[in-house]
Amino acid sequence: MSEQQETLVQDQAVAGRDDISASRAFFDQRSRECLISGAIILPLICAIVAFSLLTNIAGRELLMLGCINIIAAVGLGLFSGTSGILSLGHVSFFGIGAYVTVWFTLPPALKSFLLADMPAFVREAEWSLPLALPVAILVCLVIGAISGLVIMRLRDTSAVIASFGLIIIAYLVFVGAKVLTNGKQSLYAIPTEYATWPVIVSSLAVALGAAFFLKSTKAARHLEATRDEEQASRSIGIEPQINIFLFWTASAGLVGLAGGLYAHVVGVISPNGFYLEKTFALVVMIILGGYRSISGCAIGAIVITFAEKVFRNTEEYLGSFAGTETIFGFEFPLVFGLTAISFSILILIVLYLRPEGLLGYRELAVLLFKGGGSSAVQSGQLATPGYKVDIRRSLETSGLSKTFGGLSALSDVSLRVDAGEIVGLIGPNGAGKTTFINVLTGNLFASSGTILVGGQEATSWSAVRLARNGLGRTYQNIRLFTSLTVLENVICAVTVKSPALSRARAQKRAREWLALLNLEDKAAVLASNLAYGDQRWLEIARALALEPDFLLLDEPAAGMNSSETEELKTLLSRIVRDFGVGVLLVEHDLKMVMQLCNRIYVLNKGELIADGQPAEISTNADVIEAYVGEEGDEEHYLGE
Amino acid sequence: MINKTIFAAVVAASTLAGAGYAPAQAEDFVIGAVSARTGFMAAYDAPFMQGVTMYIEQANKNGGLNGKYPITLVERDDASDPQKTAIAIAELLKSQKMNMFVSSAISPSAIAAGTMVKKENLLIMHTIASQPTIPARAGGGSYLVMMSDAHMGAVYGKFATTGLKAKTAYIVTSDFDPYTEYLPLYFKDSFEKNGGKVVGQSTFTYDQQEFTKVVADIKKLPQQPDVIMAMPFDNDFPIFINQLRAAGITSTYLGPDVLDQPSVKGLGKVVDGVHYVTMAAPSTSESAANFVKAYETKFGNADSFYPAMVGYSAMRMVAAAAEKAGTIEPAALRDAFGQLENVDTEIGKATFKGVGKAPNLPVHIMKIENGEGKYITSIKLDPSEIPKAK
Repeated sequence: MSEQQETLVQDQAVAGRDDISASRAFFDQRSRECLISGAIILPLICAIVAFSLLTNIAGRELLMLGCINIIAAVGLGLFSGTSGILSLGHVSFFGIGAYVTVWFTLPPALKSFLLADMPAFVREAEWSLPLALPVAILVCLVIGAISGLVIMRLRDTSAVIASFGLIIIAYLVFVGAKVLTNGKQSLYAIPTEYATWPVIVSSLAVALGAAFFLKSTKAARHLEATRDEEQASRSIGIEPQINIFLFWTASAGLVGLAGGLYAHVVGVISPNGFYLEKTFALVVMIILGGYRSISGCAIGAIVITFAEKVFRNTEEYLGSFAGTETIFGFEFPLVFGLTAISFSILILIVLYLRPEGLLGYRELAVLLFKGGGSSAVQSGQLATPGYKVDIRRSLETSGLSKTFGGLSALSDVSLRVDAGEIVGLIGPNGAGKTTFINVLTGNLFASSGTILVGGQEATSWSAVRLARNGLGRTYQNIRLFTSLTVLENVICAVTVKSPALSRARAQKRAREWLALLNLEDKAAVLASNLAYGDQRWLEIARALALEPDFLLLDEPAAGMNSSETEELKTLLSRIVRDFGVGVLLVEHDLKMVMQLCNRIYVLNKGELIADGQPAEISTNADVIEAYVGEEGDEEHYLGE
Repeated sequence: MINKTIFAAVVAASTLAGAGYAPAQAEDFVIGAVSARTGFMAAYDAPFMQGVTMYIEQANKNGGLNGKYPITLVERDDASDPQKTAIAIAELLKSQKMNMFVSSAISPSAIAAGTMVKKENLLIMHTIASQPTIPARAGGGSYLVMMSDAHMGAVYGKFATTGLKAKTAYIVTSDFDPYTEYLPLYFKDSFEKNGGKVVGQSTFTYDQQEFTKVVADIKKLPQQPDVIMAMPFDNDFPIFINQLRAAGITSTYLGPDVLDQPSVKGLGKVVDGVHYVTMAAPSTSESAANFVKAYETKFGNADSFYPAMVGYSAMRMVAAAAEKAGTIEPAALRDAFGQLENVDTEIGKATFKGVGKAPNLPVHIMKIENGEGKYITSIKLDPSEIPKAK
């Protein structure tokens, strides 16, 4: 029976005991939050629009542009919020969407002089907007995919700069490719009658639906994990690039849709409209609303749309005093430009008071129904999670070395961990223990030597591949996905291990792991809000949820009190006994190592100086010297 | 006073729509205006609107347009962005009943505006726009209120052959705007019709800031052209003229009307002898000279009097049209505007009847000498001499 089939059988067994209602069985917490948020936001927007139209608070154009802003902001936020990469380039897709749609909707009579050099099938086309929009989205998806191949390899500042490069390129193309865009002389007389409310509202529904759907997938969760802690996400087998690519491309399509609509509300498009000012406006929207959540982006767009109206009315009203009134003896000046200045001040204030944006990091549903979410998480009977490692599996290194320039951090380390045993790796500070774990888990590459996983040569495997082939790890400095909940941290690993699991099943499996580590009641808490000890437990839970053959624990007891350390010992013994995991334990608590480990390796200055049974190690002269020489305090542990 | 201002600001900020506009009375003459108060076109649109405002203030002191209809100006900034123009106009059209409209001179803005107000039968002028393509494409009540590019090009062609006795010319164009693209071509037509020959053409992009290639192309000619008709604006012009003169090319430079600016005239010896055309030459009439004085008094300096004088004169044309129509009803006003003949304005006697969508007026040729624009001559074409729009 293959591993996959085994998983399925287990799932069916679990499902049989499951008393979760049918609807809940389909959705996990994240999908529910997205669904509810979407179900609130779309009617809310429609209500605001209807109310504004009826009371004449705002005109049709302003409201339509507001809806378009929401689509664009949600599109941008979908990428930037999920990946943590603030894109300054998405306005290019907005422009591309606008131009491509107009190619097909502009009356042929106008195209005969505005786009005279276009191919005949474009010049003669006279499509309706709903027909042209999918073409525009498709073009944006294609260009998004091409640029995504670059963006997915970049992180942080370099990604932001690259996206900025994209908008510069796009702008120059809009200006220069007169055949396609008529350059600075603009495309005008675009049929605005095509922009009807049904078209706008259904586009909005499609955009929100797509964004919330994507946000509810495991790809979004994985990308958020990468955003929070890329190294840790790789260590549970999450491949970041594909997710960045996916979200970049999808968001390009959404922003392109917004651009296509925009052209038909405004009626004129020129390259200047798709450049820095629009970029700034979009960025303001998502940052103001809270760009990590789709709800935040939508709310930000609504606020900015109305704020702009207020600023502009104020500007015009003040303008009516220009030259006729005096303040402090000065003639009242013309105040054109107030709107742009006000926006800049607004964003400064918001960033100062609420750096995470109006809505913060979480979706609307979470904010509205605090607590309600966690009870849903806790319902249902939980089974004890389990899996069995093949007893013949082993993790082996031979002659492993790592040098940084001239400095040798590891030299000729040969070590073996078999399934079902706990092997200790000790050594004074700076001995190279963490470097060894980093080489072993693919975060650093070995300078020489080999790594064998289950007999397979794995020296050049990436962290992701090693994780997917049975290597789980924890970190000396805890690396959790801090903006995800405790439950989601674990689901990330579950969905890597068992991608075929339904959302509800994956969530249930994750809860089982949490229950095993006594974290079940904290499932809905944000990982960053956990107590220190619990953070350690969560890291172990996350590593276990990957169902690894080997677990590499880098000082798991650091910072734990004595009762917690006892619990940890019990847990480790239990998982080794029940699952047959092989554990490599790097630990400073020598008492614990001596009690738990079957065998112990001792590293000093990058070299193995001893290995053997705990009893042998505690009397080894080299070991004692290494410790006494470095850390006299720990001497007495060796004696016990 | 300050309290009133603050109160007004608060009121405006706390209400979303239409705050601040006192609803116009039934017989008010309402002018809607969406033009560039910020952005690159503000240098031309804003002074035009200053001229309009000056006229409105004076007229309202005497009871309004033609002493009968108090004038209200409803103004919006489009930040030199055609997309903002379209949105602002759509909103204005909904919120306000208007008698006429003013748009920015930027071609796409102007055409978009003209198309949008056509349904309301409004007369629309496009500040200092001179591209005949604008009324041609927008149709309806779209009129230029100054010489068109075709007109300007024809005047220059005539002046170069008859006034300067030039035989050869070189033209420098840019497809940045119909103005920079076609004006030299209108010149070429007229120049060649009058017996001259255009011996070469170069192109540049707006804000190119580098003209070595153009200069080299001219330098390559077997003989220097007698005149160079070139379209760089005041941002590119200083570099072009310096590179041109540094290369030893001494051909007479014929520039467009945007060179009528202190920043151009103040470039020193290198611009001596540069020609430009204008509609506003204070030395040509008393009314023009008086306007410049009044403008300087009001705004502190006379740097931008040219667009302002055109704006002020345009309002005189509107008044004449209202007089002729006997009403300020939009469609009647629009129709009367196209029938105007010999309207006295600060920029000369303007005639639309039999001419088309831009007035026939005298055009003044100026030459820069010692940092000043020196009046050379005025040319008034016969309507038949003004070329059709390209």
